[in-house]
Amino acid sequence: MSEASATVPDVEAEIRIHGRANHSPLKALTLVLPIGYSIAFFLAPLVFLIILGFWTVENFRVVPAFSLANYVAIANNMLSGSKYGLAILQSAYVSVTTAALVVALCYPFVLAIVYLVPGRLQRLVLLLAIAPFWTSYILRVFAWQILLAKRGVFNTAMQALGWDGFQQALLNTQAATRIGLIHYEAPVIIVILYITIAHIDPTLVEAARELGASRWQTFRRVILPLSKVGIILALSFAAIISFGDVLSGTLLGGGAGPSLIGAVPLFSTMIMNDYASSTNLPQTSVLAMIMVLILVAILLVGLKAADRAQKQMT
Amino acid sequence: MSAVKHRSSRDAEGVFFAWGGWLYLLIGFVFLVLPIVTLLVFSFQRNQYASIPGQGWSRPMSS
Repeated sequence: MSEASATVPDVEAEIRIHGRANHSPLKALTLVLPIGYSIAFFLAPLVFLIILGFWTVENFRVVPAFSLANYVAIANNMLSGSKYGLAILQSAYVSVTTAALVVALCYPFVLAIVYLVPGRLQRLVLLLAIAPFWTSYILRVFAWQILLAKRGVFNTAMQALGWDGFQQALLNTQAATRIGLIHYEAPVIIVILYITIAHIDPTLVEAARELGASRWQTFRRVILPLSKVGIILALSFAAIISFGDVLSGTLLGGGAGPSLIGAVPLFSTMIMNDYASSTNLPQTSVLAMIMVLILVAILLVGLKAADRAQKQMT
Repeated sequence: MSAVKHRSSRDAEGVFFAWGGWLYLLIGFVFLVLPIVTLLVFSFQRNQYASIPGQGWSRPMSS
């Protein structure tokens, strides 16, 4: 009883202290910079993009107005004409398959780092794994062009080894797009998965092993369920990056590689081409808004699924 | 006897997973550094037209 009465005032005092600290001008000042940055570089361009979507073009000049003509034109061109709908489907197909592939490939890689590499070396190995992220993305895409071209390094090596049957014309295909995207996203996904898997309580794994579970059973019953949140978040991020990416689709995939739904360009490539060639900037900004909405939708679905998985765990 | 057998099979399983894991790490690192190594190697090349997008790597042009 006395213990309880002694702790209650302490907690109240702590709340008072923190309450006072929350209202300190210094804290308010530290918030100004990130909030100001977000408004200036994220919110303001986004609002301008939305406003621009309602403007019109008259005599090759953008005229401020409030017109839904751009939205109507895009709606009319969803399945015919420019086929924006098919481009969105193509991007969704590439982003979903790429996300699944990159997570499936990075997950065992991270498992090997966490459970095979000695603790003192893990950070160094992780640092080496994310090192490609420090080099320019466009340079890496050019390097992949050299590797995957018809007379590229892979095909020349296969020819030199006498394995002509393994030669593949990968450049300008969706496979090349996925290779570029997987290489681009791998460091990010490795970090997300590492944070999740490295924080799994090792005593749970040891307990499962001590109770006679095989490595596969330990993985399936303990490690995999406990890393579900990380997997969902990694899938969401990979899908977002893949959907919005332009470089891999254009420089490695050739813009419109043949796929399940035909030779339709990716939505991001279509927006870039529209921006480069069209004189109707307001209509292009509506396309960009659609892209932003899709990315936000993927993020929200991912966060919701991760939240649900977290609740199931607890 | 069965316990000994069980333990030896678990050890073999452990060796398989350990070797498989290290091999996977190696392949993963090769994939991650491959473009950077390619750029480094090609920075020392001469008489190549590899830098033309889509052309890839080829033997030096004969003069």
